[in-house]
Amino acid sequence: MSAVYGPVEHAVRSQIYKCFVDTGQAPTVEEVAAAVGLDEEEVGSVLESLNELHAIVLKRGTRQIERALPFSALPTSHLARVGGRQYWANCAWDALGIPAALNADGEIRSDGFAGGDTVHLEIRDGRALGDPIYMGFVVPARQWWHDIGFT
Amino acid sequence: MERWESETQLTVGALLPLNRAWELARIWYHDRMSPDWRPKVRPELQGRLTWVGLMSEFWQL
Repeated sequence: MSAVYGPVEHAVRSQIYKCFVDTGQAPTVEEVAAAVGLDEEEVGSVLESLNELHAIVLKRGTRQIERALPFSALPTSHLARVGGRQYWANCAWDALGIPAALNADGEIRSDGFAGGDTVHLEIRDGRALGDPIYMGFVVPARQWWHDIGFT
Repeated sequence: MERWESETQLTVGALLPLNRAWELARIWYHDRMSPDWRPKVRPELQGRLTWVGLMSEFWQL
């Protein structure tokens, strides 16, 4: 890993997360460039560095932002509702990560459980409430970044 | 779990009860929005897994 995380990378990453929190969506390269005062080529290069650093996830072979974990720009069956906004997460566990990242109460709805069951959870005052479910992890931790979309 | 594995044709490597999954989410993501956030090196992340007691081979980064 040779990418460097400096002030420019930090500014771009911060803008990406701000966009996810404010809108539930990933910004485009053009939107990030306008927000941080860089040209689009510079931003594209920074996005590739952030992807290499596992700070964001780009669509393979592109400069399109797919994820800034725990947020996902791709529609999924794992939703977190926090502060009146709804966010997609990569998996049920990442959905828990959204109120954790935002340090806020929230509600989780996940359709990825046995029998097609939909699970509803609530995060309130730092505690997880809901059915006594178990979350299954399929991919060993060492292999998570082989395909972070499937863990 | 057998039902889920049968439906998905996947094998579960680790199973966490809700409260432990939540604790892992908290320790993993608690600083994600911090203005001081920076990429973590492997020992830092391994330490977070260890903090919630996940030390088996499955959880080795």
